[in-house]
Amino acid sequence: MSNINPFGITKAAQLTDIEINSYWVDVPGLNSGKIGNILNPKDKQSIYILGGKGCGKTHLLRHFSYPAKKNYYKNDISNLLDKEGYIGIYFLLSSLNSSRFSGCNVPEEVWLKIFQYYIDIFLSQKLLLIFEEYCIEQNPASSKLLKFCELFSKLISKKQHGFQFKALRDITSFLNEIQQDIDYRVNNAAFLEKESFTGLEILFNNGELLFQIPKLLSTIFNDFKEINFIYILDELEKLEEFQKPYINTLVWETELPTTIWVGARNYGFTTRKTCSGELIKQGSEYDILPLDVYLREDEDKYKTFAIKMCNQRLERIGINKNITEIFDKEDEQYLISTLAQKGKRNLPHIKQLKSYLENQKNLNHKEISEILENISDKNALHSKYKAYAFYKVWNDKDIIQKSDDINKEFQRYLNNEKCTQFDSIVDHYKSDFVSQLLVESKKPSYLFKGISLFIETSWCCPRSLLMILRNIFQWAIYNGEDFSEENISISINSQSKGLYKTSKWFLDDIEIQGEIGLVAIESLNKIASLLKAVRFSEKPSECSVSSVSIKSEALTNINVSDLIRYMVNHSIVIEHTRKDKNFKENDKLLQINRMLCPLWDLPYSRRGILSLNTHLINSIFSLEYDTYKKIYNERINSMRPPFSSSTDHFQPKLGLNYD
Amino acid sequence: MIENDYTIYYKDIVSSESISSTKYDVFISAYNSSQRVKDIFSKVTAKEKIWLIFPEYSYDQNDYPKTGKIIDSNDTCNETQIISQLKPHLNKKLKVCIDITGFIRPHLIYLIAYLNNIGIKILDTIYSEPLAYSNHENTKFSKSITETRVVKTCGGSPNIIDTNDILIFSPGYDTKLISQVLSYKKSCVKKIQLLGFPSLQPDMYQENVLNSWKVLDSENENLDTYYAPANDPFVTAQVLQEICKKNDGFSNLYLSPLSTKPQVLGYIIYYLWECKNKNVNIIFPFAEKYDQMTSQGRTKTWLYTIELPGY
Repeated sequence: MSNINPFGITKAAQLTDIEINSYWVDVPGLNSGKIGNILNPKDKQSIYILGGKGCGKTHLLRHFSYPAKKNYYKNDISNLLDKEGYIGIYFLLSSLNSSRFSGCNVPEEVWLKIFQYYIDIFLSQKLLLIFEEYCIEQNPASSKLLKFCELFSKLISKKQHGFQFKALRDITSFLNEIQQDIDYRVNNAAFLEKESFTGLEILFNNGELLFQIPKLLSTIFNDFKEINFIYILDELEKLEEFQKPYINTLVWETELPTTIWVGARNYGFTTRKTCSGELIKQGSEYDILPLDVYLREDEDKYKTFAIKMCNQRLERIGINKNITEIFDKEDEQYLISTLAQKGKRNLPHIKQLKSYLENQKNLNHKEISEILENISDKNALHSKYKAYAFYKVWNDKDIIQKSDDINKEFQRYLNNEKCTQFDSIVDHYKSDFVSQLLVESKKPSYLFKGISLFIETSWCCPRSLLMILRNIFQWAIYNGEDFSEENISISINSQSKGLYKTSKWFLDDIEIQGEIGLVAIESLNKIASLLKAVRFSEKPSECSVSSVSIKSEALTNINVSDLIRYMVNHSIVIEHTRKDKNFKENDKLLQINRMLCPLWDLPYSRRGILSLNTHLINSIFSLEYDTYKKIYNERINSMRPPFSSSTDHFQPKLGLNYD
Repeated sequence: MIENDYTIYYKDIVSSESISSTKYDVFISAYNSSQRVKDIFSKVTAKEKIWLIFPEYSYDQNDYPKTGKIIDSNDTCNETQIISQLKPHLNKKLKVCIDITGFIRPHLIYLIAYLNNIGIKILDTIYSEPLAYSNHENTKFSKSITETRVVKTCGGSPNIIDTNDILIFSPGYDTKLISQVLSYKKSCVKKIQLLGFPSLQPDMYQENVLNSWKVLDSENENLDTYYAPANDPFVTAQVLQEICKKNDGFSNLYLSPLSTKPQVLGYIIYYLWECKNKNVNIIFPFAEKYDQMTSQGRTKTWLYTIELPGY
């Protein structure tokens, strides 16, 4: 048995340039679709590529980078330029360790100037490094190189005379020396304070090098003539807030043949301000590619992509089997037949019903038995339907007769007679009741039906899918399961453990920073606990509920609206639009991220929506508990027998039924 | 590159009597509620004894200690602000001693760098080992991390080729700190953990490994592991030197000491001697709050005499 986990690598940042190509699977919509329309390297428009953690930004951006393309063209740079028509100068903004450019009693405006100068020098060196490689490979005419050096010298000499570079190496050394000098000053600013930048002369204007070097190259060298130079700046979120306007300024001032692509987490693109205070305009100065939103718009295409990606991983370790065939599966019929062995009166929900009748109704043993006989059923799911119908009439008179009516009505439903309430109950609540039965049997709340469950959970986030599969395979290896091509079959046990482990990872990995992050996690717990209580109640007010709606009036509370924005930007909840006459433009519809749903046994689908009133909203989006507890109980009391009193159902904890 | 043999530096276990017998010009300690910190402060003999009260511990002014000079600050996650207030009390001619036990790690790193900068060549540091951490492997030290960043003055000059970045970190009990560092430098192609072994107490190694494993497994990180005693800054520095020699050719190096204070000391000693102004950075996840008391009891008290390279 091989114990290689085919899903061992999950982060694009960990891949080499060669692996960036070999792990590449065409993203849906990139070649002829919405994503490709925006992300076209020959286009002259600058772009912000936004998305949640693990949605594939880095892999996508590195796919367009020069090192990956050079590898693809087997180091034939001339061919690369000819075929692709662009150069992607990929750069992780986190490499700057940009927090160095702040504090230490140095005014922010000074830091900004230094940062602008520094990033220009740094990026220019990146570009010149590519050009240096080109020169080594293609050996261009020395006269042309000399001309480049001459024109570069003139560029520098605008502010300070005397620069006469004779070789490319002189230029790169010159820029590197400036960089080292600034680094020294920046790193020692805490000791030097206001003296840090005394004597430092800024030799060129903002962006000048970044835009002029490409111009020089395309003017002098034929290979670069029609080439688009794209500075691909990844991880905008790693910059300090006051530094971000400079990136916007570069986008604003971009000069052909240069464009700028900026990659950022959803919470990283926090401002459209430029250094002059003006705002960059979407459409005219830049476009936005909301990567995860676009991927979510067509889940079928994502599914095809995901299966391809998984099969490629399997092939790499020599398993030539389709990912759709390697997981053990279970269905509701199996669940029902397992539960049938318990005996219809021993099902947990029937026992619970009995307990409610004994404690809340003035009935004798025979009467209770008569009701239970009417409601219980060898088929556990059928008895769930009947129990729900019975709880609907719980406070009516003559509930014994009602239970008999329900039983008879259900028989008519089974005989395909129309106009019974059970058409609607089955349609609405089947999946909730299956989950209830699973949880009551101390099983995970999902039926494991193969790869589709995991693709659905990952919700168009490839890294989440890879993490789920990585953890499933890790469990399978630990459990000693057979990995040979003929027999590979991953058990339900490994699947469920891997899924729940990944869900917990997703929660722990949310980059919460500061007080607002802590409140966001508390708010998630409050919403999800409430949704879970609804879903697992005897008479749920909504079916398949994993979403809440929030009226715009409640959003006037700035703390609430800030927190919701934070939760959306960190992909804790996903925001949807809704076409409904009762739903105003500024109302919010928020769904718990599917990756988190297993922790609270919540469904993935978005059918029922729990409407939250202002009081509840204010108590959810805060660290306040008393009001939340009171309203929670009021809500849940209407869904649990006796459907009225002030019973305390409050249990605010993770829904880790299965651990 | 200067290559030091750090293991020849002086270290010893000291008794209460010998702590009192050495006379210092300035003694600096970081106040927290651990008895082991208060005991040492009362025993050390110095012309001037200074308490640094870090805002991260959230002490009310009424709870401040009654003896010793107080230096405090309202600015959390700002290592330079509080340390710079020591300026009038320090110069290179003074004999200085620091009790590192109660320090917040990045503040300790910056303080040593600061002392090096003002020209102090030899420095005594004291560390008292705890008997146990209050909640064993589940002890939480920090709360509410605001940012991960380079500790001031411990930044390097980044290499424009960043395809071979390396992270060396020492995991401690704070799992959140580990995941923050791994996430912040996820682009490092190689990650190396330097575990504290032997640990301060026998059970602490298992607790530490358990914590570290939880994060590394969920972060899906495969890494090399090295060991250095949790209570020995000099061997820690020596092992760092060895690791770096073995991994020569890195594009950028990131160091992140998240473990015991002696190990933190080892990192900064190594950094000051061999990494200053190179492509090496010390990074740390800064938290707004720290628990006032996380340990129980005191076992050994160590005296480490550090030699600094100067500026």
